[in-house]
Amino acid sequence: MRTSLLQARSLGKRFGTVEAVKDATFDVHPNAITAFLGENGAGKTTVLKLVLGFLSPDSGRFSFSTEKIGYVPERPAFFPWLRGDQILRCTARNFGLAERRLDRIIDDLSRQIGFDPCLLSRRVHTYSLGNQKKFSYLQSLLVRPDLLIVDEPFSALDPLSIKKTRDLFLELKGEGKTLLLSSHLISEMERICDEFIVIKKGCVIVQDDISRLKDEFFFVSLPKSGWKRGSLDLAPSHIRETESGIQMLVAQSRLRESSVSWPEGTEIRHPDLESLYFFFSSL
Amino acid sequence: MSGRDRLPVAFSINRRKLLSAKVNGLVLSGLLLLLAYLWIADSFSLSLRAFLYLCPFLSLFFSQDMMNDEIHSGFLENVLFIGGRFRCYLISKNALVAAFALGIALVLFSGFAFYGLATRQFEARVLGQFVAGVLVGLYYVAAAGFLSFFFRAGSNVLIILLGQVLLFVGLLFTASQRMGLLNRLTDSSFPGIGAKLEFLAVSFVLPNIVIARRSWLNVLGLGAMTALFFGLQIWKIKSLELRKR
Repeated sequence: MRTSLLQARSLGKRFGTVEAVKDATFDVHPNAITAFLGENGAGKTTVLKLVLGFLSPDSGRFSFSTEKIGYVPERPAFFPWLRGDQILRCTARNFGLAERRLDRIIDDLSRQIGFDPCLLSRRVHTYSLGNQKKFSYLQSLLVRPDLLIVDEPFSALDPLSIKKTRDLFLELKGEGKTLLLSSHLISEMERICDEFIVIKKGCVIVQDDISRLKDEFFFVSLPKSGWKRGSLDLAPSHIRETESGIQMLVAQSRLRESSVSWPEGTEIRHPDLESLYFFFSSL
Repeated sequence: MSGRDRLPVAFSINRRKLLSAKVNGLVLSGLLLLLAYLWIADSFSLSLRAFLYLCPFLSLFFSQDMMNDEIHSGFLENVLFIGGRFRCYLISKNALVAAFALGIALVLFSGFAFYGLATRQFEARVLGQFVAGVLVGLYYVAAAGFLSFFFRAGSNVLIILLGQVLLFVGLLFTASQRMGLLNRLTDSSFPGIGAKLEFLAVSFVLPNIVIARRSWLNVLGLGAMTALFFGLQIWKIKSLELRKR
């Protein structure tokens, strides 16, 4: 059984009459990049805020197997009376980092994320949005987190910074770190993530390993006419009907073994994250 | 990491906030100028009396914008405050603001005390008045801190000052009907529980009067109200969530 760095079970959260999170059960596995996907208002940020302790769950529970957690919010905000270097020194002191090595660590991290260290002598709220985001990465990485949680990792970043951030995530994973990234940018997530979690209307509807699905499954799209229900014994979660036809996620082994004759117009291909996301989120 | 380890960080953040707020600098400079003027133009004794009455207002002004803006601005959704640490930070703010104001008050009082002792103008009752002033300062921090959950920026301080002005003007305009209360305030004599409770109610809005007219009931009453406001703050913070930006 795989260990989890973060384990959430049946998390629930209500804001008045709105049930923002109903049943969020998922695991974040170590040394992996997990994409947390869902449409606007699905409950991604609320779930992140629940596990980070900014909100209190009404039901369910969660646990971390590490205390070293980093967090980069979607729109970071900083005390307007503090300069960048003062916030970093506060952070270092809070997490018990040695003062004498701090400048070198800050320089190294700044280079890694493409942040100009000259900005540190200014108050952070005067930075551009992109630089505030980079500063938030810098602050979180300073604590050497085992688990880095990022809400919309690429928002407010320019294309070059997006590339640098993507490379940074892969470097962190290479160093044995774990990342939980909540994002709308499926194409970016596809390039870096190992696992994905889909949340819809406050419920986690699927969590799986992307490469496993890519290696072991085919994505089959076929017209409604000519398809006999029950020809393939599929789990209900692996088949859906749309207006244009039927979509199925079929294990490659089953496809090879079966003697199903596919109707004309059937398309069989390897799944990608985007098709998996739309498939699961429309179930 | 224990709460004690986090205290220096909370102290560092709040010290810089207090130092960077222009209004704090103005209030402190204004107080120093006034005390110096009274000393030079009138006497050491008047300057000391003004210090004792006005010093608690430092705590009041330092308590502006204690909670609301920080809670709703998103500043606390930071790696420094994950795992509910923002609650410890907010609770410690009261102590840090009070400590900051008390530190300044102690420095100023030491100056007055040394000069007063050297020139034999220092009376023992002044010490009691200073302690009462410290209690009033704590009351201001607790009350203004509690109000700052509901009011933005410096509105919490303005509401307290407005309350004091309204009460003062109210007493002034109804002086003929309230001669009893005004006489008792002047004489520091509060016979009967009714008069004591009336004075207590007035001292909740104008706590500085406790500095001049001390009675155990009022000191205890003000102490109880201070504890109540701190308790209410802790209760609010314990159930606080960082919901919206």
